[in-house]
Amino acid sequence: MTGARVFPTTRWSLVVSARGDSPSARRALQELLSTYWSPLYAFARSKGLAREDAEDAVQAVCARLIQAEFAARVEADRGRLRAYLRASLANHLRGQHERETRQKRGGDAVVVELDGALLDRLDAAPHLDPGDAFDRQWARQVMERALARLEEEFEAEGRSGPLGVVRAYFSGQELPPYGELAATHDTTVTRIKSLLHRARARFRVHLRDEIADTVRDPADVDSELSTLIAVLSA
Amino acid sequence: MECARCGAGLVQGVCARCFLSEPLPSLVLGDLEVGEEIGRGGMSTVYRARNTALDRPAAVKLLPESLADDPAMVARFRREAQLLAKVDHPAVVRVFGAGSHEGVHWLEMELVEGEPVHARGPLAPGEAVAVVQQLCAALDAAHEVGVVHRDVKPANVLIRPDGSVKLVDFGIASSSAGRRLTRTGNAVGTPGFMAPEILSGAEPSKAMDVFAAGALLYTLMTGHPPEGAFEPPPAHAEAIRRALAPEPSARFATAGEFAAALSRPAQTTALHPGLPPDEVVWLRAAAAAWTLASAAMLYALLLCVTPKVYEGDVPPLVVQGVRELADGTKLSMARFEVMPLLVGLAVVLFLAAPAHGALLGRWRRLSLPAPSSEVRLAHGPWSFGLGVVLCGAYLGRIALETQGVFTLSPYVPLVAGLAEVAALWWFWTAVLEGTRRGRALMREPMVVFGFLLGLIPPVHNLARYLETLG
Repeated sequence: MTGARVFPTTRWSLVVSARGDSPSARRALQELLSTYWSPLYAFARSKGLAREDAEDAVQAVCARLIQAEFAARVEADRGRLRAYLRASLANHLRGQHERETRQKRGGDAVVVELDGALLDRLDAAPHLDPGDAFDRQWARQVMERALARLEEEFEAEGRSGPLGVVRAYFSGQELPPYGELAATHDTTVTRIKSLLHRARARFRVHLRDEIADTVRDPADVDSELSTLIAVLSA
Repeated sequence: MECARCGAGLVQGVCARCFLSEPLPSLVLGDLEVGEEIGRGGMSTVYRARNTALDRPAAVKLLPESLADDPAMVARFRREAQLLAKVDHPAVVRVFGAGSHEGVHWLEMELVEGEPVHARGPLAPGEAVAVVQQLCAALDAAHEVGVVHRDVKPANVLIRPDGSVKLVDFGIASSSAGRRLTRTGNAVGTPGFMAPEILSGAEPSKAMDVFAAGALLYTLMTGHPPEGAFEPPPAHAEAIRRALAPEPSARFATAGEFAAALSRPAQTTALHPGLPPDEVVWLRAAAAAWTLASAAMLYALLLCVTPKVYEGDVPPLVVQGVRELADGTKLSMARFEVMPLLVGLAVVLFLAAPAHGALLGRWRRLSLPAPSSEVRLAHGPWSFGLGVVLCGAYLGRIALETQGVFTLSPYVPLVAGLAEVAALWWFWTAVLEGTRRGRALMREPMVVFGFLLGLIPPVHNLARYLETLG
């Protein structure tokens, strides 16, 4: 196919349908892993692994997934990346393949870039059950990605000013009266209300899109979204 | 940090509970309560809404804030409502009203519960045609009141659960009656669905929408928009090619004509069921390549076994069965005629084999429907009949000549040769059709016997010739 992609395909469905066997599927998996490695790290740390060991476990699992040798063995719900990653790491931590994988991928070879600041933040997080730690970090990652997309849009439209109002609104802070906000930003009350409404609606769309990219069946988006809300509200 | 509103933890300063678990507080615009975002284009965003005065669901299109201070954009936004109000067709989204308040501009429209037509992935040919025919009816209705949509693409064609279609987003539409809101020379539209004349700044015309409808059908059937030297899907290839003609005047005059052309069943022949006319031509061309190759090979073989007289030395490696004649010359009964054989082989390798490979590749790529391998070829009786005619004519000629009734003119062998070539070509069309169905040639005795009967005249003629040499 040479033309622009017209029909939507999520990255996870691309990975699953190709069973990791095509270059584009591997690339999609690599992209997904470079976004969603941090829940793996949180899980490993909560299991009591030291930082270096946890980092190594993340690299090892990612390497295995990309090599696709693991795909057939993981008895996970393959329709969702979240469930798949969690099952992959749990399998890995049973220790059956750790040594051979480490040797195979060349010792300390880096498969995904781990962000040091994020690692520090995760290390400082309160200790949770490994499953909770995984889900919580997963949910945070999805939220952050959706927010980043919204910010990118605002910046692309050259509207970083109103973004401050949106952020304050999103954080649940008590906002000044709309009239005051409108005067501050040299606009009208209806436009301020419209801005906040639209930003919020847009954020929800981004969040859905972000989740949709990690599930195979669009019908799974709602249940993943419910999980995300439950995890973050806990 | 915790949310000041509900006390839940914040992620990057955002409270997930407040933002996700509760319905959106409505933005109120006039009688409209605006809800979730349901669609987004370059010029506007559409939200689910409720008209509280009429107590009915609606869709609200809002002009982006970044464009709300641009008078030209606001005028264009209003213009969309006016154009939509002109078009009254069940496959065109209806507009209920337009309004603005404190710099927020909106259109109230019919809420279409459906999804963009591309959300379901490539469609079966029948489904794709049904979508495009409804679209064409909508375009015809718009064109009748002088409105050209100019942005027909999958995202702007919604399909509802019952399969009915709605054309939406007249944001860059133009009206022949009204003033233009985009300057001539502004190429508006979506690549892949834009008629070529748009790039050269042509006036909006319905031919542009016909082109886009053709591109949409192509996209729905193949999974991608037509590009460069595109290959239309065999079903409706002719209609798609005409809708996508680079020259506007070569396209269907109306969208309705395109829809009608799609209703006509594709013409297929009894010999090649399911193969559209274009594809029959390709099959026959490949059969012609094989005919040429096999005729060249047969001719070379015939030369090899035709007696030949040598006056000087004979090349011993290639010439067999040499006999010295009374006048000192040498007679060879058989030999390897190297050049004719090489030419024959070259025609097989460089013409027939590539043509065959290209044909098979084409069938694979286009996923053409083929009858089951259990279905007999329609070629059989014709092949057999042709063999009988060739043999009959040959035997009749011998009988008449032997009895001295008359002698045929010298060009008759040429006619007979051409008839043999025709029989060969017919044989190859049968072989290729058998290949298409995955049906072995051995299961077609009539074709095989017909072919063998056709070989009798030249073989017998050669034998008679050899006999005259003693």
